[in-house]
Amino acid sequence: MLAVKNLDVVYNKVHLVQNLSFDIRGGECVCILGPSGSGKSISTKAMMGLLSPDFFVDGDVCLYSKSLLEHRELGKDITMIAQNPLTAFDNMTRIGPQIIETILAIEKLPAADVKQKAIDLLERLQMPHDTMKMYPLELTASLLQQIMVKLAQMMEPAVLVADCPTSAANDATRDTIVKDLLGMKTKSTSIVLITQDLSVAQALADKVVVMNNGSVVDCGTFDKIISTSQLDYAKYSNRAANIAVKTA
Amino acid sequence: MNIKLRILSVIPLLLILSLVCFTFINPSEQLLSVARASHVAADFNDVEQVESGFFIRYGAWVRDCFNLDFGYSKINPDVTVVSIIGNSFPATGSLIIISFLIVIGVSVPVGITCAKYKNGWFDRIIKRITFVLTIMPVYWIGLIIIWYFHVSLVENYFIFPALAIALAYVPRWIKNIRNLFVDAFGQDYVLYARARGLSNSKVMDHIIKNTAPLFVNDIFRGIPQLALCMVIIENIFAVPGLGTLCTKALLNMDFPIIQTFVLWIGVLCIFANLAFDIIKYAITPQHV
Repeated sequence: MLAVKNLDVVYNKVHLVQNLSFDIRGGECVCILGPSGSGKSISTKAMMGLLSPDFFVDGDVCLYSKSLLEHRELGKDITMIAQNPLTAFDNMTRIGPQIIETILAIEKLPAADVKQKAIDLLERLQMPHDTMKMYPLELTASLLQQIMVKLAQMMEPAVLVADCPTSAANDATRDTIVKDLLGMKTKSTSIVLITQDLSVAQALADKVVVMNNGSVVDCGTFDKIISTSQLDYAKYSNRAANIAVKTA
Repeated sequence: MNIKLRILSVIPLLLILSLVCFTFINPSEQLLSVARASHVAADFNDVEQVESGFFIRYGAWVRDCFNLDFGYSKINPDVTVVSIIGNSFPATGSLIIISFLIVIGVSVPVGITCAKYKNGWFDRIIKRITFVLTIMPVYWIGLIIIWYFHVSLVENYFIFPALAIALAYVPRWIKNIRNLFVDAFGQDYVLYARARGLSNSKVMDHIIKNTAPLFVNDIFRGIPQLALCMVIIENIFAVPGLGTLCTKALLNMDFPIIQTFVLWIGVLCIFANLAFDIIKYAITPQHV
């Protein structure tokens, strides 16, 4: 369904991403692993067309037969869960209006319904409805991350880029986020997952792509990658290292 | 920052300003010191006032200020200082407004376009033009305009001087606005807002909300430079405004006018700064 072919990203004559190719069927999840600076986030931003025009992007990203690099409907074709929850929202605007404007971008509803929907979303996260009046910086990173996941769920995009969706989560919230993302997979959303947490990758990924210095160094199923590749486990969490030992 | 404290800080500032104006540029204070030095009685109308202490004279002067009684021009003793300054105010006011409109009208769209197509052909051309304009001094721009358009000094009060001021200002502003927006376009909240499928105008709302405090900052920081430009340009184009009045008064040693002028400009600066801080306070959420 989503096919990335020979994606190149060049900035100031430096190749940030080189020859990245993979494809995902509907409801599948591809996990991109790799050290920081290996071009994971850049390549997903290139797919969404979010890089500034001085980045040179070449190659093709096709959703069904449509080229996303030429035309895309952000929010419907493809959307994301941003990497840093503390900077993802506009800190000068209260969180309520930001949830509301996202709902309105998906569907046109009367004002009262939209507000109710936003309050429901916060209630599902066990937050009182006066959270609507708070600024993003007054909320925890973990909560903002969960709001992003819930918003992504509501948007029901064809492709979801989840850039470290559990970076701010504790054990309990990590499980609910993984459950939410699994739920989106059953609704045939394809997920491009970037994570440093191998347990999350294990739970979600149907396919793993390992990147280093902008190019793909390995790909395959999660189990195969863990048992054969030269992943540097030291930078992943202890939990992840345990999984690696168990599966190896 | 505590906004109440900031508002209260105006009081000591005004006190210092008025003391400085009263002691150093006061015509009667200066005559008094001359009189003391030469042991001659000066020709004051009110001998009692002269012989009273410094602070009593200061008090009387402050009371006159509050009654808008700033005395008479030394050169032209029939005319009150207030009416002279009041008469030249409209020219300067409209000059400021027109040049400001030109500056905003040109630099905002150009700056945003440059930021949107960063390092594109438009951005590169504008960068070169602004570079050339930045190194041209404002009086030179003014003289070039007079020479090129054969401006008759009587006809055109406003458009040409305003153009000269705008030309001095626009390059810096284009650069500021471009950089503000280049910075904003790369911010996470903008990327995430776009990824959520928000319309361009909604995304722009967020950007404006975030850049507004910085923008206001730039505007207010430009005020002293604007005042300086004004004095030069008004003299070049012979605009009968505050700038020409100021230089004329200085050359004539017309102390009542100079004193009032300095006092008013000082008060204006204090309150403009206060207004700036209040605006900034109002548009920034309190936890940030």
